[in-house]
Amino acid sequence: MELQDRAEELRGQGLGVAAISYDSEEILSDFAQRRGISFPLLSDDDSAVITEFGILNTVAAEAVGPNKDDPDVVADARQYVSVFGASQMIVGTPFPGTFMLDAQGRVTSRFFEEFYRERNTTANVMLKLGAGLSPIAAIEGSTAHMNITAYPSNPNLTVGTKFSLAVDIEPNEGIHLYAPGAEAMGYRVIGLTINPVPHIRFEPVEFPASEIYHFEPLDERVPVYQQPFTLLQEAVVSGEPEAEEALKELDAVTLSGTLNYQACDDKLCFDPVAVPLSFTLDVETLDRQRANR
Amino acid sequence: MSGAGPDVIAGGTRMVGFGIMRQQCRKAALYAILAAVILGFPTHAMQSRTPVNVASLGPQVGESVPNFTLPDQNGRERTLESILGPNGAILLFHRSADW
Repeated sequence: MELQDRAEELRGQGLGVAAISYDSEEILSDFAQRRGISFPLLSDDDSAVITEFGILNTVAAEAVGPNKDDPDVVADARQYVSVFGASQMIVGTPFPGTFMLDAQGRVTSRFFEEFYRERNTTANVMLKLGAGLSPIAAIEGSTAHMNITAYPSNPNLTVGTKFSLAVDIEPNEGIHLYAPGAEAMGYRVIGLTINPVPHIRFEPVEFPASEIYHFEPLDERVPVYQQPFTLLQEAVVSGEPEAEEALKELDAVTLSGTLNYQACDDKLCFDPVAVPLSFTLDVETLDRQRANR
Repeated sequence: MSGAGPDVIAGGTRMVGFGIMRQQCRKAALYAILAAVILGFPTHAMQSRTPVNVASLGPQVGESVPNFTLPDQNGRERTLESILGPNGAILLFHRSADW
């Protein structure tokens, strides 16, 4: 389980971890032993806490209730309950998601999906919050203008995984790279392009805040990056059954793309550069093993 | 928001200690519940259901989450406070560890 692998590191960042579900203590105990889980798995077996949090999956009950054939209920059930058909078993579960809390228990950010099969990985959440966990399987390289470290947020993916491809860029001393907004002044903004692959959706690349560079000869003020920064390309593996079928055939998925940029110093601009990048993530099959009973 | 009923009831009980206010509040709460029953129930049956929007459910950014006491996989009671670290916590809600 991803979270178990990261638990020690999260503790090192002063963060507690707990997972809540409606499973009984016995089920959780069995699961924890099978999977070597040491962080708290909490048993909310009457769904009281889930309900008090306001995140009880109400569609689950509708989908097996008297209105189950209502087209709106059918559509919501597919989105929030099951693509394979609803069952009583899902009644009492929450809409799955993650709360990040501060030391007083206030929500600092939250990650809930509108399609139940899509899930953020913890590493992706941390990366998006700017508190990245240590990169796994990073590739490092350098060009004449910068050092590059590229890594996926987590080493594997499965149906519905929401993850990110991260590219850490450290410009050399005296070098600047153009940030979004500079294109209006005719400059080439740094860009990350990942080639399309079936069953994976790519979100727009996230750029961090830039700084304004004053280019005195032309008296231009241009948005640039001069300090180390990270580009994030978020991606979502489809949660559709077709994607699940396709993933079964694969051991790994390789995503390749290009980092394009033009670097300048305070006197001149260098030729545009295209750096090929590739990321390989192992495919995990969904865990359908149940507790012994 | 999950409808007017439960909010009104919670408002009523909160006010119960306030002496003179007590009767009026109870009365107001009772009328509100009656109104919800009379007006709300038939319209609910006739109207189409409210679409689900998960982003609007549960504590939002800046709000505190409810406290809780739940047993963990080793039978130990855990509270929100015992989970929180010096910089906070990650709290996950899962469908099930069993299926």
